Amino acid sequence: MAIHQPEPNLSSPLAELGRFAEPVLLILVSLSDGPKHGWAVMEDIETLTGHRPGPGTLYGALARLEQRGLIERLEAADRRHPYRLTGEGARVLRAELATLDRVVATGLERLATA
Amino acid sequence: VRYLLRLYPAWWRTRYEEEFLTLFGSLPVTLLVAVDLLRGALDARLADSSIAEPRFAEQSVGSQTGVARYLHDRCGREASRRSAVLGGVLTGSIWFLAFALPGGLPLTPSTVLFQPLAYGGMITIGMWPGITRRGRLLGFAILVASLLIPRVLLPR
Repeated sequence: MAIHQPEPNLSSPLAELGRFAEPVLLILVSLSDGPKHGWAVMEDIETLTGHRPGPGTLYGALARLEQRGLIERLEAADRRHPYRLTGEGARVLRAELATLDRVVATGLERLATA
Repeated sequence: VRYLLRLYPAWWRTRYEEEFLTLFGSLPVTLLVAVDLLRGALDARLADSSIAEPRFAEQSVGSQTGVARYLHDRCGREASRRSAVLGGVLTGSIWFLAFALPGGLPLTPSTVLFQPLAYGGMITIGMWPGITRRGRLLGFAILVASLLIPRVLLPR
């Protein structure tokens, strides 16, 4: 009997972002608990992963997220614009995390039976 | 940092430069930071049409339609094409200086003038996901020209 394997989510809006796919996902996760400006996002990602994204990579990813309507830039406070997750951004993040969750579960399951 | 930001396209600087300098203006520019900013500038230049349009473009063009919209679309495509060539040649030149010359490539007019173009063409064609089809075609044309012109025009 064929075992059903979930297909990779190639139609994911993040899949087309190339080298920005990972920082984009991390930014979405960082913004999921509320608006943050660029520096706070960078520090949050460092706390999450142990690695700090470069400022060029960070703003390249922010621009792409903003263009796709997944985040929005709020009014500046002290010349620093906070960024906020949009409804569409939250939906995309949930879908991405669900895919990752399936990958992690499958990997751990296979390791356990190997 | 301020100096490196001059390499970013106008739309990026208009939108992000002030905020960026507020947050990162005092950041020590290590080699890694400089490379990251250079890559960011190149990405922004190569992808400017896909990033800047339509959402940012709508903000700058506002509710204008007709001729204004047409001109904006034309300029957007031109900017994208220029960025493709500039990015390709710039990357090709860096690649050439960093890898080809130390590798023992002789300093002839052919290598100095056309190898960067050749590398640039190849990189423009193959490595930038945000580039337009026209940009890729142009990169291909640069590559072919850079391979043919030295053989036709320059002494061996």
